[in-house]
Amino acid sequence: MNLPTRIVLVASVLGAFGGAIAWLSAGQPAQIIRAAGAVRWESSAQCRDCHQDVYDEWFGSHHQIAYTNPEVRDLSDDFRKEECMDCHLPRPLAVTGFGKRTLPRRTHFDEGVSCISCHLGPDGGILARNDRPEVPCKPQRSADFLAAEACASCHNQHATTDQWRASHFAQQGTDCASCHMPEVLRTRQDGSKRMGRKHVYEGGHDLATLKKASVFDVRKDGDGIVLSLRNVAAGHNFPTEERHRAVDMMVRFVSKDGAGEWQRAWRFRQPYRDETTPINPGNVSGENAQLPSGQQKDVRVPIPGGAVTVEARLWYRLTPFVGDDDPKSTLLEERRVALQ
Amino acid sequence: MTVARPSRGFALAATLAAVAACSGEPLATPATGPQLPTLRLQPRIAELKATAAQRSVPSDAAQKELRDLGDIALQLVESDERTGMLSTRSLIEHPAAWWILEPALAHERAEVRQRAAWLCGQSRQTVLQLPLLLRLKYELDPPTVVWVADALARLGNDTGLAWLDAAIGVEATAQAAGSSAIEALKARGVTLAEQPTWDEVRQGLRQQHAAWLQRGASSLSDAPAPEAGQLAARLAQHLATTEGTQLRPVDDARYVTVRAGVLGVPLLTHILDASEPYLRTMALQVLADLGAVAKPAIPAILPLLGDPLTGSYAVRTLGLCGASEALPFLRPMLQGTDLELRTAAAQALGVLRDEPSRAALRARLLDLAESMDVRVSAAFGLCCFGGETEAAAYLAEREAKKDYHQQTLARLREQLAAIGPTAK
Repeated sequence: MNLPTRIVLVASVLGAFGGAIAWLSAGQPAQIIRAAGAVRWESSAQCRDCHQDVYDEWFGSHHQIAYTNPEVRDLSDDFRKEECMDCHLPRPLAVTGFGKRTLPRRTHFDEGVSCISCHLGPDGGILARNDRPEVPCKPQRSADFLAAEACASCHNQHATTDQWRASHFAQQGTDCASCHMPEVLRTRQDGSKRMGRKHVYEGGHDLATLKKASVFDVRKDGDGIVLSLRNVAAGHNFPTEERHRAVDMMVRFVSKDGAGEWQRAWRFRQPYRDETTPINPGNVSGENAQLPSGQQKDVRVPIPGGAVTVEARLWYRLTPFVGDDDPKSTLLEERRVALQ
Repeated sequence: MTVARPSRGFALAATLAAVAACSGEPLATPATGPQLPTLRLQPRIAELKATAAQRSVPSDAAQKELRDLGDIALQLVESDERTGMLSTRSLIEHPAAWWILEPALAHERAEVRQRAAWLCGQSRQTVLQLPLLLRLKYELDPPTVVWVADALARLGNDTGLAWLDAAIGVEATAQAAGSSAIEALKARGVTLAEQPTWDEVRQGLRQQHAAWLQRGASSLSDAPAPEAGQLAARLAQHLATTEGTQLRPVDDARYVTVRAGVLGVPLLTHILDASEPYLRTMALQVLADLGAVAKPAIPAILPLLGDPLTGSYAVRTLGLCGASEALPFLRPMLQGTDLELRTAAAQALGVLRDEPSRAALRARLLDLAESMDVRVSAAFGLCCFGGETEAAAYLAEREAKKDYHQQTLARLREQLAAIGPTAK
């Protein structure tokens, strides 16, 4: 084959390739043109066709509603605090770097922390647990994507990832996904099975997860009672993340005349930076009163005269400014101990 | 929402763009259009930290002297009247008065914070407007807010005038805020009646504050310029916080730099070429908030239009600061493959009221295959021109059907209202 013929042939191939890309991108749904390398992964909706089960888990999760959640909008002054957008509407984390500060996007507002936020790689391809070149999105295995660092960009905002690093969970290799994205068996479209991760992100908004985080106990000890809370299953402080989250140990004594008032024996919470009143009488101003992973807090309360029973409750509150009858308070545990 | 579909003819450009993005280098140009100025990124965070560290610390002897003066001037210890006056004068004339006054602004006792704010205002050390702005963010005691706003006004920062206006509306602070406001207005050459009404005073404050937002500079004639090194060190200290994942310091940095007016623009412009994306983003966001005040930064923003990470923020900033010279670069972006860029460009072309883009905006609006983000932005852009009934109807339909993020629509409505009477 002579040189001019080769040039014509190469030009024809390149032309046909470019034309095919142009035709495909103009006329076909975005998700099937990945083969040409031209697809732009922009929305979780693109993932739904093949991953309906995962999409359904994610949809309604606190990742999906990260930008639309009324509580978040309230706390962020309706996102006039623009920094909040970094984590509530993030661009792909891998592009800005796992563990580094994220950058916000201004599209797909209803997707919050989307499939794209975690799964899009810096080269525009998809990151996942395994290489799967045979499927449309051609995921590439990424060790970084699987590491706790991937969560740190947003979840170390309140030092949660640092708390985990200091815990025995980190030393034994139990990472964020182990608890918050447990493994599940999934069925592929061809009927074959694979292991995947649950995409509901159960945590501070899930009663079952909250209940198993700690062990609450009440016992009589001489002329007092001791309330204790041990953080047994949270690989970080309990509670963690936002400073408005609180866990309260409440107690009241019952005499033959009836039940007394509920009083707070101890509050586990990190104060706001400008909060000058200590969280508990035993704390100093500004001291973090969250319960670190693996640790126990005992609080002694004297038994008043005539008390025959003590009742104790453990409450989780999404804001410290509400009482027990508020929907933002969740009753985790309840104990009743006879004193006589 | 619909999924964006790349338009015919731009797929190859998209491929080339993707290849360029894979290389880790910023794109030199958008999909089509004139050649963008080359973007050369360089590390800036270390430089900022070094600048912040250059903040001078007084000698041990000076520190002792300042502590002694501060104890008396801040009325932390009792003194006779003459000693009090002399110490106060010595402190406000001391070149390192900031060293004692800055921490005093966060003192646990409100009366000490008030005294510190007053001393800041008297010192004429204009660099103190930065810690005063931060105090304004956190101060909860209404009378102290008036003192802080008064001090800012004396140092040539008119942010506090809005706080004085608000304080006049509250009975408990009205008298103090009113006296401070009258003094601030007279110092700015505003002619008031001998016994002005509250409305007259508040109107004057609003006019001066509006002018401040437009110019980023006060009409106070005799405010000295801040000492350059001290200013740079404080601004750098704020901006360097963007490296971390803790957002409160970043929020503080934004709060202060946006309200410092023109003072922050040179350093913000300097870090636009930072290789650290969070610095580029921060600078672009603050400059966007500064609007027309940020015009001197336009030449440094233009190369960022080719930056895959911050390009859409550059588009937004150019729109908000009125960069009509950017239009040749912005127009082709409406046809590009990057959803963020198309969305930002649709809004910016409207904000800039680029008449030649009207037809292209209509095309984006009417393209049923286009992402709703772009269509809403195109409708917003067209509404900026006024008289675009189809665009207005499209936004109204989204509001009625609730099929687009309602708060974003509300924010766009707010922006349209601020743009002026032509935008409906």
